[in-house]
Amino acid sequence: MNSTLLRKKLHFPSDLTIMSLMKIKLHHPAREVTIKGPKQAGLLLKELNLSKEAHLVILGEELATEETVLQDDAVVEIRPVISGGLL
Amino acid sequence: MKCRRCRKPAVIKMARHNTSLCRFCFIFYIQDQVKKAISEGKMFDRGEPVLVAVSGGKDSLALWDVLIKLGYRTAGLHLNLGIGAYSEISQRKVEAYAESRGAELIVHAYQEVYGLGVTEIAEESARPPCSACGTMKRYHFNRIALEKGYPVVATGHNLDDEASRLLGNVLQWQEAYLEKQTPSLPAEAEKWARKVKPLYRLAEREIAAYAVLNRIDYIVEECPNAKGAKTLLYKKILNELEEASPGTKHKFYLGFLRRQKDPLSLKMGDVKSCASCGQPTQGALCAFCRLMERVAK
Repeated sequence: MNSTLLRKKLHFPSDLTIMSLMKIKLHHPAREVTIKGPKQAGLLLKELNLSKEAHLVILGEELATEETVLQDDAVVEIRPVISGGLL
Repeated sequence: MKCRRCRKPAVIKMARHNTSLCRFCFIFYIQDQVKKAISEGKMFDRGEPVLVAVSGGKDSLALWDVLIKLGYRTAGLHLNLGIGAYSEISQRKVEAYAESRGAELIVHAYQEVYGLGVTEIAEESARPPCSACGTMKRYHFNRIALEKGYPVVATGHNLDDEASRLLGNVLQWQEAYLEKQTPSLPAEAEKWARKVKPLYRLAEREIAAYAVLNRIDYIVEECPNAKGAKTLLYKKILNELEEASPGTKHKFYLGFLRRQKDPLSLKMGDVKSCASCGQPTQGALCAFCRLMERVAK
């Protein structure tokens, strides 16, 4: 991968000034991704192709509504709410 | 976004009710829906002891929390299924919750009693894991409730669980199951404890939100045996419908309940005692003893 593509993928601006990015904790499987903010929680779910009926967005320890704006330095968890198996 | 009731900042939007609520009003809503379910389903009276089946997941811990806060007499029953780290973490979450609330907890570990976890029991009996697990849970809930003097067992089944189960039963035309798909199954002949589902009016997302708002530390990870379970597919489909048309799950399941013929007078059929364990059954041996017979072979 050339340096321009790498910078783009890591969301670095062209002058290589490091910006903070939202850290998004995901489950099933457990992983973490970073995304450029600010962004509304509802849009974040849409961007990650996650159902808003099946997930909660948690900012710190608090619930974020669809309209909550998540800033660049936010620590966000997207928690699935669906459990399965035979009932 | 403002709370529809008090105009304070909202913490959750519920499209199915076309409303948003603040923390205080949302917790009031959850408690109110549980009270309504208990009352409409004639589930239990205030003085009756209730055994709450607690897995360590959001639904059962949230149910226990609501019942404790509403002042009901409860104890928790945790079945340790013996599924490695998943079961160990689940038990720790339940124990931590019980300790934090000073609540009584009964723990029953399959590995200690049978020398096998539910996954091994399913393998040895050639049954799908969720099917063997369901049989074992129903048996132990009933047996332990009656042994410990609890006339009622409450489980954390929610609206999504019931709607997905209804979809599965309709797709397969399981008429016998449809007849018994009610949030309040009656006790029978002192052999079956009443089985009740006080969360049936609440969506899974609402219950998870309640758990987060009340700082209930539950196991978020999915049971490893549930991977590929049909219920997950049904829930996914129902959630797609719900997003396109809010209120679909609610109308589907509560509409079904309204069409049932007097579910509170449901009879469990001809109840006998299992020849092996004495628990109620409609055959010679109960489903649990038949399962364990297959394991022993």
